[in-house]
Parts: sequence; C-alpha cells; structure tokens
Amino acid sequence: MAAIPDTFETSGWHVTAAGLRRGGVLGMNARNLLYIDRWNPRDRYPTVDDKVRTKTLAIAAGVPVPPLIAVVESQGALNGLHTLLAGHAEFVVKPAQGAQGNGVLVISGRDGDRYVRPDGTRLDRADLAYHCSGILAGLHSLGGRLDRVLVEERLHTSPAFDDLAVGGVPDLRVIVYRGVPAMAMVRLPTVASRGRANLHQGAVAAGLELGTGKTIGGLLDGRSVEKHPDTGVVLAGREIPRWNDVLTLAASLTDVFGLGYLGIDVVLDRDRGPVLLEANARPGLGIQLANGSGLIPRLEAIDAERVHERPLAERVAWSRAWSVSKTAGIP
Amino acid sequence: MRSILPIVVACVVGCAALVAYKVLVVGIPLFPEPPPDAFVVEWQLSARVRAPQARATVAIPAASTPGLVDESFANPAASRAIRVRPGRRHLVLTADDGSAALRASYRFGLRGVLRATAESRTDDADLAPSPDVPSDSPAVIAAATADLGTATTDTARVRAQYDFVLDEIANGTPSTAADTLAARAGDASGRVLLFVALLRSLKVPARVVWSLPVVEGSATRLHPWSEVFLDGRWVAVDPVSGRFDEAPPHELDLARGDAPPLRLEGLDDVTTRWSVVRMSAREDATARQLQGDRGVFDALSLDGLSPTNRVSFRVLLLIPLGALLVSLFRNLVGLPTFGTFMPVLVALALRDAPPLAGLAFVLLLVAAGLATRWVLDRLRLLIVPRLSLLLTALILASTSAALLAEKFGTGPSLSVALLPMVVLTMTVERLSLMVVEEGLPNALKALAGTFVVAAACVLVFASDRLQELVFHFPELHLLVVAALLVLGRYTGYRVTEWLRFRTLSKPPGGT
Repeated sequence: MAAIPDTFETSGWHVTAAGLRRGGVLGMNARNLLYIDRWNPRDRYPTVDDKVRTKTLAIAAGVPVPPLIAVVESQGALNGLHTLLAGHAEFVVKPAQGAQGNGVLVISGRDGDRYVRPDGTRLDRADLAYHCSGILAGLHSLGGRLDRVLVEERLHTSPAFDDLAVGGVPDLRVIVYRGVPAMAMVRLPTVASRGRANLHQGAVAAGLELGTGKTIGGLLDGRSVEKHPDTGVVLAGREIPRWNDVLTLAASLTDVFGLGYLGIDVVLDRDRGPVLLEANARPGLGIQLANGSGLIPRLEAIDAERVHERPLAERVAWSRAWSVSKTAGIP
Repeated sequence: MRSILPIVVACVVGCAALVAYKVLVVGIPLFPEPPPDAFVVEWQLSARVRAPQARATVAIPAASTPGLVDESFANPAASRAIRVRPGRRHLVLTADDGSAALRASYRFGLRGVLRATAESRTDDADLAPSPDVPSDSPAVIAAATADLGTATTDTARVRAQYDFVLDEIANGTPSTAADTLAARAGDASGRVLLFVALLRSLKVPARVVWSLPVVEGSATRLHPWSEVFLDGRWVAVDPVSGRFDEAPPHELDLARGDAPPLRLEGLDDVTTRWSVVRMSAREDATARQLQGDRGVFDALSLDGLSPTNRVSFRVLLLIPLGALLVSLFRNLVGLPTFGTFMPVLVALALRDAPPLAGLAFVLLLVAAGLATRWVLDRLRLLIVPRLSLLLTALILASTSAALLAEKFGTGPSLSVALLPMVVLTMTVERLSLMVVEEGLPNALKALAGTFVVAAACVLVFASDRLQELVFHFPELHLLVVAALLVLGRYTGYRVTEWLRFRTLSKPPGGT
C-alpha cells in the first residue's frame, strides 16, 4: 500500500460511530478510560513529564539520549547562562516539563554575541534569557507549574532524511502498548513549522508500516498529501534505517518507566543512531490518521495473544510480523 | 472496573421516589402554574445594645389583614410583646439583661394584597398637633395660609398644599417636618409629615400612612404617604410621588398614625430591612397542605430557607446542571474549552444580563485582554507581574465599560463585579499562548467551544422555570449524579471525532 486510502466508500458526511468502530478507531474517551487510566499509574507520570527524570532513568537503563549541556533551575542562574553555553555553537533549550514541543528553542549557530536560529533569525542574550525565564516560571509546562530549563546538544539528522526534513530533525513516534510496538509514524519538519516536528505547527506526518519500516504516505493539517510541501519529494515508500533498533529501543521503555500506554519519540542521529528524545504518557490519536488505520485491532491483538509476556526481541518481532500480515490483507 | 449500575439505579429510583412522594402525597404540582399573588415577607433587625432595657418597636400588619398567614417570630436573647390598638399592631422587642446585641426577625406569608377600606370617620388625632406633626407651629401656619390664594373649598385648599409640597419642596436628607419646611427640602417622610401638618393647621383631618411595597426584593423601603378626609371619605394623597386620590397599588399598610413605623431606644449600629419574595404555586400549595407543623418535610424542601438565602440558593442549585452540560459538551460532543468550568463561572456572572449582550461583553473583554497582553509582551516582564498587570487592565476595562454603559443608558447592568476576572485573565493568557504554539485556527476553535458551552449554561441559568423546578425538587440532582456517572464511563466516540477520523471509517461489510 503506497498511499493512504483517501476515503472509503462512505457517503461523505454520513460517517457514524458505527463506521468508526468498524474501522477500529480509538477515540479519546476510550483511550482515556480503557488504556491510559488502566495502564498508566498516576505516580509514574513524572518519569515522563519531567525530561530531566526521563533522561536520568534512560541513562541508568542504558538507553541512548541527547547529551545534556546544562539544567537551569532558578532565575538567578540565568545570569551565568551565556558563560555556561560558551563552548557550544548549537544547542536546544527546552522546558523540562513541556509538551508537544512547546517552549523548545533551537539554536543552530552564533553570530558574534548573538544566537542564530535555524530559520536565520538572531536572538541576543536578553532574548534568550527572557525565553528561559518564561520556562522557569511555568509558561510552557504542563499545568503551569514552575519548571526547569534543559539545554541539550543539538541532534543532526541521519542523511537518509535530507530531502524529507527541512530545517530540523525529524522524529519517530512509536505507540508502545504493554511493551509492544503498536503503531508508528515519522514527523517531518517543514518551513512552516520552523524546524520543529510539531504537527500542530505545520510539520508533515507519514505513517510507518511496522514490518518494513517504510512510510505510508503523508498527512498535513489533517489532510492527506503525497509530497513534502517544501521539497516536493514523494513521501511514501521511504525506508527508515535501523528500524529494528528503533522499535527495540521504544519497546524497552515500558519497563524503564513503568507505564503501559506510551508515546515514544525517537530521533535517528547521524552519529549516535536511535536516541530517545522524550516519552509521553498521553500520546495523541492523530497517529491513526497518519497510518490510515485504527489502533484498536492492534491493541486487542496484543491483549489476546498475551504478547506482553514475551521477551523484548520477540515482542518486536511479533509486532512486525502482525503488521505484515495485515498489509497482506489477511483479516 | 467496578460496575456503576447499582449506584445509577439507586439514584434514579431514589429521585423518582422522592418526587413521587412530593407530587402524589403532599400535592406539590410538578408543572408550574401561574404564580399566585402570594408572597413571603420578612423583617430583620440587628443592633448593638447601648443602654439597659434597649427596645425596638416596629409596626406590623394588623392581625385582621386579609391574606395574612403563617406568622413567625425569632428573637433570641430578647423578649417580645405585641401591642394591639384599633387598626394597628406593634411588635415590641426588648433586649434581655446582659445581652450585647439585639437580633430579631419576623416573617409572614401574604396571599393577595388587598387594602381594607378605610372607615368613614375621623378622630381627634387626625386634627391635633403632635411631636412629629407640628401643625400648630407658626411657621407651618404661615406657610399653609400663604399658599391658599383663591382657594375656597376644602378640596382646593388641600390641592394648594399638595402642589406646594410636590413642586416646591425638594428631595433631601432625612429630616423632621419643621426642618423640611425651613430648608425647603427633606426626605419622603419629612415631606409627608409636613403635608399633614399643613393640612391640620387648616383644620382638615389628615393622617400619615406607612406601607410596604409588596414587590420582590431584599431591601424594600417603607413608603410614607397620607390620607386626607374630604367630602366625607378618606382620600389617599401622596405629595412625594404625586398621586391625588389614588392609593398606591400593591402595598401592604403597616401603620396609620403620626409615630414612625420603627422606634428605637438604647440601640446603636442599627440595621433593619424588609425583604419580599414571591411565593411560587408550589410553595403556596405546600403551605396550604401542611398548615403549621411541617416536620420531616422541611428536610426535603428548601422552603424553610429565609427569603434572602433563597435567592442565592436558587441559582447555586443550578451549578450542577452547568457542570453536567460541560461534561456533555466535552465527552459527548468533543468541544474544546479553556478551563474546565470557566463557562459555568461566566454563565453565573451573566445570569441577570441579557444573554447575547453579556456574552458579547465577555468577548470584548477577552479581545481587550489579548491586545493588552500583546503590548505587555513587548515590555519583557517576568510572568507573575505580567499576569497581574493583565488582571488590572481587565478590571479597569470592565469598569470603564460599565461606566460608559450607565452614561449612555444602554441596557440593564451586568453583575460585572461577579465576572470571574481572575479566570478571565488566565484564559486570555492561555489563549495567547495557544495562538503562538498551536496556531490561530486551533486557538479560535477552543475559544468558540468555550463560548458555545457558556451560552448553553447561560440559557440554563436564566430559566426561571428550571430554577423553580430544581429548587422545589432538589432530589432531581440525583438524576444529574446518575447522568454524570454514566458519562464517566462513556467510552464511545465524540461527535468531533466522527469528523476527524472520517477517512478511517469503514462501511458495513468490510472494505
């Protein structure tokens, strides 16, 4: 299947709940009550909501993460920020407790005393301090709580994505249910998204067939597209390198965080390979649109065949095989 | 998951049982009937005792007043006595020895507001001077005779005094009849007393009447006017509001006589008020059924609340309905809102205002907030002071808007003070962040969603019928509980998801 089926033969606006149920679509209410409430204990949320904790746990478990440059915890410490960053031409500033890429600031170079963003705009010291100050005060954090500033090394795209990602690093999102990869997509930055892989901001998503790691067409602003809006490259049929490593990394995190329904964001760094960017205890449902397929059949299959009881490598193999069988049209 | 079915069933059955009891056994009508002309009136007094034997004497309606029912008194730490005279009654409250405060209340029901026809005779009091009516003072006599002009008949003479007081005495501060004449200004009571004094000095029998306007309100003021004996009958004359031979409509006469309707001795820091609440058809029926002893029933109904509390609870009891609406819109329809209960708060504040105008006002405030925030953003401030500035700006904006509205006489006042300004500030903040982080279209969607839900809540809160129904059958909230429990377990799709995921929908029979 090279392109996402545009519309089945539904008569346009006569879509009903019954049709969605047949399509196996996971809705918000069901996701919240049957999966998140059931499998994500509340006390484990901080392990993924606070990126500093995520990093600590990941490093302890031997999971690769982007190297940390600094953590800023107080407004006072901002005075020394510039000195702290002296040796780094490029870095990424993010709120420790942010979500959906909010508050993330990417610096790709220097221009004298000023910082340069991927789109070329310049920030001076005061602008950077102001942004960090907002992060500390909880502007971008979930629930508006006081937050910490995380400064990480900037990752570089694997060259496989050069013609697909514009101005930023694409990331891979994998939904992992009870330690088994259920669905995946790749998010490609565009000019509109200012280098961020944030779908709300105009990035392009492409579903990923779990068996082969190949893209299944594109989704932009909720509508399917065939080509990348900036480079014009066809989106379908591209293979993600080191696909098994990506799935294995994602699947291993259920045990690391103790959460049964996770959205894992992985980046393929040019030098380091698959690296964990962040994890999400309330992953969105748009991934179904990117894949042209509902999540429920997969989640139910995982439960029915008790895949979560198997060892890591077998879980990954199962999900790849299941996906291939689906694509081949076996019900 | 533990099944919620037993609780849901219990709630529904419980509610049905209570409602059935009230409707079938007690006889409260389920559907509203036209409200009878029935009211509950309450008088309250609160004062500090300054001297021993502190006392308050208040005029109350005569026992023979048609339609007077269910009188009750409350006077902790004080003794009460009722003094009866022909045609008038007074409640005398004396503070107990050693009490520091005097607090009392008196409540009664009134079915129909009828005025007893005044008897057609006068007595000496109607002609004689008294401390409050100085008809023998030279100043009064001089003023009365000065205005006579060409008046020869009694009616003409009365008319002359009436015109004098109506046209030449201005509204002013509380004062006696003498002071009112001297200053050519006085409050309603001063003017009426002066009028009566002028008439008595001309040997025309006249007396002061104090009545209570029977109109819903919690701070009703007594209305002083006069009756003049002309051509063998008592004629109602109000030289303050300008009525000649026309009794004030829909008022309960409390006292006829020169003495003021409330006399205080040895008391300071006095607050006293009359409040009037319309009885609904249901209350009326209940009162008729359960004359006197209500016992258990009081626990099941809210009629036992004082009129002042009743008004607040009428609206408070609608809040769960608002919350139910919010839950329905969120989980069934899928409308995004800013803040879970902000629509309810906004609706509460706007319940007395015309719905569209109120919502438009809030929208304008939000727009003003966004503009302010845009300006503040350029100033590079720390977030908490910046938010405080935004809050201040919003309050100033709404104050100005309210002032302008009064000046141009546009529309009824909104209870702007109750607008959740703090919540609005946070909303403006989140809205602007959302615009930056999720783009204008998504932010506008969330704003629209919030307003749709708020509008639905406003409609619910503004409904008098619904208020009434819920007030008399508070057990209906059990149904709300049951509905919320069911919604809490609803795992079906939201209406917005039908749209969002329509490309994934499958027709019957597979692909």
